[in-house]
Amino acid sequence: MSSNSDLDGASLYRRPLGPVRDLRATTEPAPDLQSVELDWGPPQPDRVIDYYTIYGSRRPDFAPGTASLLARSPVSFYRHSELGPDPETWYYRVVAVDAARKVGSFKRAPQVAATTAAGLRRIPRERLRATATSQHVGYEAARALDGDPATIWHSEWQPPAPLPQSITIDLGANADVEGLTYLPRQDGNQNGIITEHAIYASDDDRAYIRVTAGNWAGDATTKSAMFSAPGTRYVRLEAIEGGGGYAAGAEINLFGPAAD
Amino acid sequence: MNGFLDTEDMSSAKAPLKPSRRQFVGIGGVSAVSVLLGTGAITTNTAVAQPTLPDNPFKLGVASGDPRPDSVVLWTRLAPEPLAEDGHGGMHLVPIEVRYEVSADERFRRVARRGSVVATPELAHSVHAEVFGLEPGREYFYRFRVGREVSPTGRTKTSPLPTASPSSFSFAFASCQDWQTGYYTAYRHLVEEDLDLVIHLGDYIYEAGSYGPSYPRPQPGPGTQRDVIRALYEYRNRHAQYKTDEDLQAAHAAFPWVAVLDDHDVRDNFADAHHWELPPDLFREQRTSAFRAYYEHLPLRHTSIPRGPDMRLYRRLRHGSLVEFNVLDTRQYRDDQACGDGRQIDCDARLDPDRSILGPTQERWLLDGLTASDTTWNVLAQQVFFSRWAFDGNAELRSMDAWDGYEPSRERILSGLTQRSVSNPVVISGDIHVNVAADIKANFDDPDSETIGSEFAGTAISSVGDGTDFPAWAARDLETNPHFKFINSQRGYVRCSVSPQQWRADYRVVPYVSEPGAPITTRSSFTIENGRPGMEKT
Repeated sequence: MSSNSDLDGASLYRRPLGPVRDLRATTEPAPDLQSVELDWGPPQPDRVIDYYTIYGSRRPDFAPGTASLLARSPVSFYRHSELGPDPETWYYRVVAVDAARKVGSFKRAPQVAATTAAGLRRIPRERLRATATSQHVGYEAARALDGDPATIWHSEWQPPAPLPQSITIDLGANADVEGLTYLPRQDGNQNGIITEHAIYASDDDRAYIRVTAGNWAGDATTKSAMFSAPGTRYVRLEAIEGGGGYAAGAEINLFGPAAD
Repeated sequence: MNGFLDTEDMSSAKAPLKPSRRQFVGIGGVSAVSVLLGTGAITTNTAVAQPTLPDNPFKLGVASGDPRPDSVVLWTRLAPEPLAEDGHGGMHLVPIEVRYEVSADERFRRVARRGSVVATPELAHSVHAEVFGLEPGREYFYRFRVGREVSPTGRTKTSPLPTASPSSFSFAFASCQDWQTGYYTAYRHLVEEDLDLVIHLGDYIYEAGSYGPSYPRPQPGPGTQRDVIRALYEYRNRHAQYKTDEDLQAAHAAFPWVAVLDDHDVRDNFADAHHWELPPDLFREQRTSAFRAYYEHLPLRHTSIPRGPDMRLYRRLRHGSLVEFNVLDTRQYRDDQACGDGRQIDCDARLDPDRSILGPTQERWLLDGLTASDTTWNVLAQQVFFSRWAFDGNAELRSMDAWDGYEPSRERILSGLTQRSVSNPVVISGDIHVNVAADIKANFDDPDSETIGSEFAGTAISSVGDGTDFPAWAARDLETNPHFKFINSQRGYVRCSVSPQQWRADYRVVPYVSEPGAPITTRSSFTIENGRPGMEKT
């Protein structure tokens, strides 16, 4: 065995840890509460990172500390959520900690900023009525409008009604609708969590126009969609794919333009 | 980059494995120096030789692994405070010199080899000393020293010369040791066995948070089941938690191990870079941390050191001319599960010949090695259930995660085994938490087709709790799967005794794991005669 003190200096983990790269903050308008997504690249490709520390503040000249420590993230992505509904400007820095517990410099960490949009105005629940193309006894469409996340609408499972199935909300009168939030069931069961979906609007319950479509993640977090449906009386959420081949929802909310 | 992870090193169990400095320096960046230091290939002037440690650093025990005729890898990790929040086990963040001794006798009066390795913070102060110059087929004892602290003594065994014809060989295989669902009583009994080797087929740790107060063994730290670990310090502490178990430590200290991982060592049912919780580029970062912690805590050779999200675990080991083990990795290279995973009927995608559970490189490596093999018994040591398994009395209801979900992959192996006349193929598996013994048929859809090999699927050490001997579904599944010979749903491990004439598998089970102290019995035994495919119940 040979002694190689020259290699010690070359050991990757004895050198300081550099800053994260290409830090970006993006925000997309959401109906209700807003969020900012941060992503970045690791400081050096060969160095194993343990986790990242996310700092954020409403002021641009902030110091690292308990007040500005938002979270630790195990991967190079972080969603800062539950912001608003009034617009907010946030400033962020991300610092890496590597496998040898070397910590990157806060002072040399890049800083980015994002300003969230204003939330929309929630259309009061009392005015809304819901029907569905399929529902099980005790899991009727109305359960998705009752303000109780523990009660849910669920498509029929005895026998299973194949997708697509949909839930239609009657606003009772024409209104401008610009957003929808969908809260999946919160009981840990994945059945019915809507992933691939489409949203339709109609003023007469006969002719429906598709206003948006997409794919939501198959987890229990609140999902949202933004669209433009002026003078609409009916809004329909269609589940094209859902957990286990079912459609279910704990709460659906509709949003109109923010009050002036 | 030549020489370091050369396929030549891995493809032949006879090729020399001693790392040369030139090979390492060629890697570039990736902790090459840490690796050299940790395996003992070089020393350093700056490592602390006589550190002041807060407490005994050997609280995670010792282990040995990957035995060859002239060498074995010795493992320990310095952790005076195993569950220190930062994942560094209570160590100061400096390199520490660790000395080792390998002796022919338990009292270390006939020391065969001694040396030192350097434990570095970037490898959580783990060391993987690859010791060469040992004699084949020999028992050795080993221990580590740091400053004035001495580790427990471990016992290991080298393998016979590749050309030797051993008259007997005994090993056990185990998997699935969920901490929370029960005690490692099976390991306590395993220590009493007379074995040359232990093989671990994955789910060494489980990555979820706390299951709740109704489970036998609470997991330290806060959290609910959904508080899955993802960062390196979390995986390090999960491994450290598991290694504080005395039965697991004793099992490692008693025999050399060969280990390969399965899904829970990273995340439930992951497939290469696919998991529904994260996009692939972010999941690769989680996988990097999980692989790193796995390497840091298992007795693996330098050839298995992870490089970012990749870790070369599939490898070949011989036991003389008697047995060759093809240790496989069915997680890291597999295509995403078909038809949304789970159990599915009429899933066409599972029959797509372009999908693979091994990945094309590993598949080629496996078939080439089986063709070239000259051993009496040829083993596929791997994670998930290999044979056809129709569930719930429905011939079409199959697991998308097991080999049924990658049927053409299995077909290619089956035709390889027959066309290349592979001698006595045996598949050992884990993952499913139950014991199953099955004939491997040339065509599983035809129960009268030729039997070409045998599968022994071993139950879990502790997942999913006590279990029962013969649940109602087992009777039904024996009927729907005529190639099945045996099902049992208790916990334990499988012991195999191999000779040139016969392979014998004993299913060792414990009646409960929810409390410590259960006895162990042999529930069923099966033998295979050399040259006559198909098992007999004894």
